[in-house]
Amino acid sequence: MTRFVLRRLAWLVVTAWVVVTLSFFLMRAVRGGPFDGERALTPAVEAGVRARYHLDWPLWKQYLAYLGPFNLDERAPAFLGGDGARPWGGVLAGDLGPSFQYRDLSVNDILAQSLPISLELGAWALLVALAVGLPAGVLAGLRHGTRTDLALRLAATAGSALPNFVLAGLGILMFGFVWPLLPVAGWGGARELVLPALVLGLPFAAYVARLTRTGVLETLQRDFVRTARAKGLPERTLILRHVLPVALLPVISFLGPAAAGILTGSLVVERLFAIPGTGSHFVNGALNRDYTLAMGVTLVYTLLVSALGLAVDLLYGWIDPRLRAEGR
Amino acid sequence: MSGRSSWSALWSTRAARAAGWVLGLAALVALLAPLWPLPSPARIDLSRALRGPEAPWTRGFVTAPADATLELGAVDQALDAARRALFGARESAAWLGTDSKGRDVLARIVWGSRVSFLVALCAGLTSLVIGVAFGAVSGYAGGRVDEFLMRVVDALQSLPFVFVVIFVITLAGAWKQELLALGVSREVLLYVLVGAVSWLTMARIVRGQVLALRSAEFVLAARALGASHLRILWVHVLPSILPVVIVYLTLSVPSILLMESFLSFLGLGIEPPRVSWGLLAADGADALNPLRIPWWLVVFPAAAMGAVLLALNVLGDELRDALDPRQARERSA
Repeated sequence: MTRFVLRRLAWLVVTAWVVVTLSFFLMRAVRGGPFDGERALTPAVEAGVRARYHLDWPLWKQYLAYLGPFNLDERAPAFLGGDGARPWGGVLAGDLGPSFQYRDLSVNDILAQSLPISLELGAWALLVALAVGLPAGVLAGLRHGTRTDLALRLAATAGSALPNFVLAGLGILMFGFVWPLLPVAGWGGARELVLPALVLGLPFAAYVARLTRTGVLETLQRDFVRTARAKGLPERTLILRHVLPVALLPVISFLGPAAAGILTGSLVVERLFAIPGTGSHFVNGALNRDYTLAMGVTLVYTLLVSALGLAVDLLYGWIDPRLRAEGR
Repeated sequence: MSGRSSWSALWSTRAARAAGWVLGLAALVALLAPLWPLPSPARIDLSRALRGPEAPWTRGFVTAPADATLELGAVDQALDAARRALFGARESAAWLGTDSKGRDVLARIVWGSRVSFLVALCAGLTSLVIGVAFGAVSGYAGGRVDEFLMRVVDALQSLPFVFVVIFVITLAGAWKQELLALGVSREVLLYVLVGAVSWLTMARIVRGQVLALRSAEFVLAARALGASHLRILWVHVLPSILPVVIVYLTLSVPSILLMESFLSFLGLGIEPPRVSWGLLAADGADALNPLRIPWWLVVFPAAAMGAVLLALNVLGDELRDALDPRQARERSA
């Protein structure tokens, strides 16, 4: 188990390093630097700007400064020739650099403001996915072959086929305007949360329902279920204690991809509902060529998604006794 | 698998047949877009902005104003000429309404489907080439190489690809002129990028299949006869895994279509005056406001997109089941 975790972590580090390095050199290779297209600056101002962002350094030094973990300017630690006032810097020290679009903010500032919003939205969406998907899947599995089952399956197929921005458009139309129950933009209150969380979560609820239904059907045919029935266990206890824990295993391994998908989908949903989350900033940054912001968000989300994936795998190994025994 | 029986089994499922009809119809409509008597999807006429839909039986056809036509290729010009011969200057009235710039929604859905399908097709082929090459090399080489290549696939799987694609598109914006000089427009970039991030499952599947065939007798025989590795892969191994490859290509198309519309929706994909389904969805969402509710801008593109994606999903599932009846039985048990 430890070896498995260590190997995964090692690959994560390599992936992150490749992402950082590639994007650094791509960013620097972009002609004219980040201030291309601005109104013409006087040479003195331009030199000041270049000095501020260290664009006057040789490339290798810029790269090392960007990677970290040591700060390389005049406030670098003593052994690098600075005065040691600000020893750490760069990505390895958790510093993603200044944003090119929002001049006064660093990428870290933007993430600190917006990431909690995106994570809250994502968590609610995941809750929607489970709260809707699990009961629907269990019901469809237990009522297998009936009209309820058919209706739920149709709904699930349709739900997983419609992209979330189409769902969002329909949702805004229905509950925002035709039948104005909910606010269609903004962030802060519980009412603002309802539509975005539903739109973001429902496609995944559809997938969870399909997985759960299959799991329940397969488990119901197992020998231990027949044994439990033969012993006269009440149906309710049988389902809750014996069937569900086994049937839900595939759902647990889907949680990792689902979380990744929800974070991705949140790009569109945040834009549509004017939510000031990381996704909104990322898209704005991309449209305005804010390379450092785009790069920082990509890196943070890569780490986040990988960490979630690893956590889900560990959870799975912990829950499934067969994997625990193997020790992987 | 025995080809004939599974194809006929597939065709006998009512759902698959319906999905096939929907997709066939959509493909035909998209392919022959210049032939239909539709208004130009790019004609802006603010005096006709945000007209609600009119049923074809209340107002069927109107006389088209003479206006600048679209830039068309040779085949499309022929289709356009055929349209003129068939319908003259008549074009459909706004059956599905007009958008905030007075452009016809039906025409935009039809022409948008063209672009969306084209991207899906090209990106699908890109992912096919990369995935098959990667998977075949990995499975055929085996051992350490295989181990390493599959770890790379695992590592890539953990990347949030949409973010990476958007990041690259952002960077490419700075090289727009150079890329255009090379003949790489944003649209071509989209084919390549979306394809380049959609090949992982294909690589896994192909690798598994090739690994199983690696020590099959006909491969060993070819090797004993002195065939080169490349020749063995190309002539002997790949043809025998073709059905599997085709099925997984079908399965990957919906997600590629989705990614294109996702990017276009965010303003990072197809650029106006071209139109794609993602752009249409974005237009619809932008046009909504409390004073005026142009529902037709949201509902009709959503319906078209939903129908095609649903059909693709159903067909993909049925194809997979046809390929692997054992799993199918488990799934629907």
